[in-house]
Amino acid sequence: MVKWTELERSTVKAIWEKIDIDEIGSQIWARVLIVYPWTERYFGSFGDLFTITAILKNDKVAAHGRMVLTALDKAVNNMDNMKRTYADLSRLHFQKLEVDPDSFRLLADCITITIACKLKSALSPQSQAIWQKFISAVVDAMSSQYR
Amino acid sequence: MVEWTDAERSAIINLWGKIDVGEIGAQALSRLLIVYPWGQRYFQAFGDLSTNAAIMGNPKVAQHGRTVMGGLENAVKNLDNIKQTYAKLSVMHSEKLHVDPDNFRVLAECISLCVAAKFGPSVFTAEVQEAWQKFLCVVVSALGRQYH
Repeated sequence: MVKWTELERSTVKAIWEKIDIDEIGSQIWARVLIVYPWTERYFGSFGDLFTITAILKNDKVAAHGRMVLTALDKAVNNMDNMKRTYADLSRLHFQKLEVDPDSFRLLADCITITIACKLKSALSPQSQAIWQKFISAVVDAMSSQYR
Repeated sequence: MVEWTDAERSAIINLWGKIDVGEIGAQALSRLLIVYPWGQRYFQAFGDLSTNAAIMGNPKVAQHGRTVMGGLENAVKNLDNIKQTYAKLSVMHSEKLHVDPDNFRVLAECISLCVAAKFGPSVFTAEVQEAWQKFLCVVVSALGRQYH
């Protein structure tokens, strides 16, 4: 089980409090699809993803981003229990959605970049270290039911 | 050989034009040493790296950050020839400095983060991020190329 200090807990929560799920969610998902375009293969039902403009305007992309951040909220509120919190979601991504688990790491990268864009120097090196530990634990929990 | 679209070339060159190499280099290297502290093993000669404040105030860290960005400038100016441009640097990091090549990837990540934090989402758009991260991937690959 991952161990968290008091400082780490409060830092993760402080960062999370500054995140507007509606604003940030759509940005994150657009970045994943644009920066790592092979991920588009999972979103055949999302309609037009053929150009960057289309991706940035796509409502389903924005909604999916919001959904993912809502799930991340669960991790922020269950830092001591992430594996169990994400067990069903992990199984879903493995068995039903057949998502390559390396995608979780790419998504984590885009989440961190988007947060850095938003928070700028408020994401100090120390905060970055703590955030990256947290998001690594989330990625691990999402991969936990894969075999 | 890597292919660049015109949009990617101009995104990389425009972004590079905005970057203050002294500022971003120092920040990126500080973050590397703080977020991935095992990286400190390569910098024993840099003096005090014992606290975050020490790292962020260390002039040798800042200077080395600038050196790294100077190397990156070479890549920006030689987008069609990065492998060749970095061949000697790759040999040096492998045979003389014995740097684990995974560190290049991690430093690239820190550089991207500093750039994102500096310029925000209106400059570091998804499109610019794509070109920039592709560029850094090529650089990282070129640096690891002469390892064996």
